[in-house]
Amino acid sequence: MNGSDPTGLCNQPGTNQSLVPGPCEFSNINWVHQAEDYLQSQNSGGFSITRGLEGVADFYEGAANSVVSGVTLEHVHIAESFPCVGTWQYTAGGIYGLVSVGVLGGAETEAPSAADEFGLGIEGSPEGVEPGWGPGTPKAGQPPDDVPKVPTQSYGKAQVPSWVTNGGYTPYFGETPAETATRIMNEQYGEGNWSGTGPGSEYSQILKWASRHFG
Amino acid sequence: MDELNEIDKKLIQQVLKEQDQEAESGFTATSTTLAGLITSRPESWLRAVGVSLLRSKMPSERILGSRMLRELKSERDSNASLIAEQLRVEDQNSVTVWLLYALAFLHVQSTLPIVLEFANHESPEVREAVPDAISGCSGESLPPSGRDALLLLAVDANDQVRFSAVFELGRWWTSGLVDPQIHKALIQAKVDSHKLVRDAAADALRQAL
Repeated sequence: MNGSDPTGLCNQPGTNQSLVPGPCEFSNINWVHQAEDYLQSQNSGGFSITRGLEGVADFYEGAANSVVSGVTLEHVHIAESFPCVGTWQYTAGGIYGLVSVGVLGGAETEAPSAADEFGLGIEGSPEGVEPGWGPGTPKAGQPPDDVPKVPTQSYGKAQVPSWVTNGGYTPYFGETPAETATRIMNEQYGEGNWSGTGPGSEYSQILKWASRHFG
Repeated sequence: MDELNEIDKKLIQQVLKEQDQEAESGFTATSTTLAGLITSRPESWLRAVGVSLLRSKMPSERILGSRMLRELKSERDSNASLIAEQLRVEDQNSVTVWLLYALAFLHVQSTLPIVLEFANHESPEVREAVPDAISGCSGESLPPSGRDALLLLAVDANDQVRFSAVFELGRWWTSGLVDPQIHKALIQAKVDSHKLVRDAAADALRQAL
């Protein structure tokens, strides 16, 4: 796996002391499987999220080369290479988000060469999938013509908390911006575990982002 | 950057490379390496690297520095001051935008005056970021200076700037701020030429009923 490490760090000894030692907090990967199942169902079964995990594992193996998770995915056993960077949920969320954007995001599929850098491959074509709408999208109806299908502003990432875009959060078709913001906050913090919807709050930032970029 | 070890230098170079790819994609791509760094590295490390990057001669490094500093939960006042200092001398609009949004995330009221100086900036991208920063830096109540800047930006020639300002005025209005000038601005925005602006104003007025 080290052969595809983009930085060559895999040849370095494991000296990174900042990673949290011990077993990974999240070892249950049902969430990843669900993500993969969904993406495959949307993509005629041609997509493998594990390729993305391999790619990221390659990089962090070199960067960390210490803590590992004990996870076996459907296609690839990566227990000896995937470091516990942050949490499984977060890291996998980032991958899922990136992959989701690649599969579902229309124009984005051509842009993020970072995906290639980490071996995030997309196999097959996402026929019948509306670009710009996230996993779990209700299938009834089509978005109206005047609704932007993809984010239109260059600084979308600057305007919203990084965990939103890094976590792959995106509006679902049929949601209002307020529903999107509430759902994302609930998923991030847990229902009832967050407060503050006033100007400048994270909720308000997400609401603005959803209103502006996804209509 | 000089004080970093070789591994960290390569990591930062990788993040910068991914950030360039993000920019090329209109920031629709995601830097997984940056996400990993933010979640795995201690805040002390992120702050040291962020400060170093913020002082770099390279615009892309200054942007990355602001992205690191805005994530930190500790030393917010100090981090906001550093970003405000950079904002005063920044000569690249693309960096200025990120610096303003960073201040919007850090919620430090003492930085509001420097934010307001950019309400008349020549770049619409910069002006568009100002309303976010005003709300982010205003705390529980919107000061008159912040309100006046939002009212000015709500009639900006650029529709994205108008949306940004009208949205923030709407958030203040729905949060209970009773101000006839804000109400008047929202009423006017309801018939704006741009749908986003109209919708933002209409939503705010409807919610406040």
